[in-house]
Amino acid sequence: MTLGLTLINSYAVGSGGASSVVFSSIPQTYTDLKLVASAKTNRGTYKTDAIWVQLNGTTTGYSGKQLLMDGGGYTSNSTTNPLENYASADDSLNSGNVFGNIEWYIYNYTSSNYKSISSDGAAEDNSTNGNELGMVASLWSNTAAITSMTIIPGYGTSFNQYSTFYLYGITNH
Amino acid sequence: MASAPTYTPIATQTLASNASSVSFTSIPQTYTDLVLVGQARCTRATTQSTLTGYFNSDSATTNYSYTGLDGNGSTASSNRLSGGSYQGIFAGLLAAANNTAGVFSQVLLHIMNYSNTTTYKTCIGRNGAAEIGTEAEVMLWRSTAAITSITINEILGNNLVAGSTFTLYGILAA
Repeated sequence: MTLGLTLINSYAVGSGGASSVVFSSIPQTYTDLKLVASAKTNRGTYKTDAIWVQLNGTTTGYSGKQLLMDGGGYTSNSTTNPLENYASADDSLNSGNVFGNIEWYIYNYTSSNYKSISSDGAAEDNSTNGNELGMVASLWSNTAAITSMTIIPGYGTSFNQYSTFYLYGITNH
Repeated sequence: MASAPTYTPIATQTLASNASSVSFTSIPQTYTDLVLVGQARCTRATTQSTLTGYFNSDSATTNYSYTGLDGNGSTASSNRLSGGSYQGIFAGLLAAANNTAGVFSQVLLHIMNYSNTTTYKTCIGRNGAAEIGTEAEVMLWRSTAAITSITINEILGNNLVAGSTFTLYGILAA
């Protein structure tokens, strides 16, 4: 019996930042994928930033339903941004040590069906506003197997140093 | 680069044809927690149904309770179910016959300390589909019995469609 959760690759952003993080040549030997990020972007004047994950370099075909909570209430939105969830941004009110965390679960990524993704994100900075907890159901309406992921800030232009990204493969056999 | 894996697949059930339920039986009692991962869709002629199920042979809904938080793209809400006829081990958003072809809803269910015979069993779930919404939920099964089987079904008895798939993983603390 094969054990299920295996690290495929990881990336840590160095000094100078990174405009994107790319995992390419993803092995087609797993059942599902899990992408885990601890991230902060250079988006100014906001405490949070959207994080997008483009599959196979594609910018279209995405949809999603979001459930967002900020400590004062909750709202629900629709989105067409790719696998959008939320991490921390480089607002001056955010401590330099504050990073948001997101986990994406990508189901059956090699199949010829449309791809379903579930994600949870949290950006907490010990303040009374500007925090974000996001839960998202996403769909990529594309039948291609997922072979690459490009992770980019939604509104900032780069990820800050010390942002980390881990891609895991999960196998059910 | 490979690391030591931590999930152990116990079993996978993929429907080759439409069926009213999926079951995992004789679950090993050697793990700490269980994780159920799945994609499902049902034959009900609507755009949204509900996935549920039960542990062991206990389909008595009075032994289960549920609290959920939902978002459908425009409205967020929280609800609780207990003691009625419409709940079981979870109450997940389930893609149905009127959803876009090929769209399956997602299921992630964490079942804590499933083999102990002292406490009631608690589960945390995340599920949804981009055409329907997203949901987080917590469930309680008021039984001290160890969980030895899991049955999953559509809430009104409609079939789950061919291609629906569920994998049960064991998580070991040490």
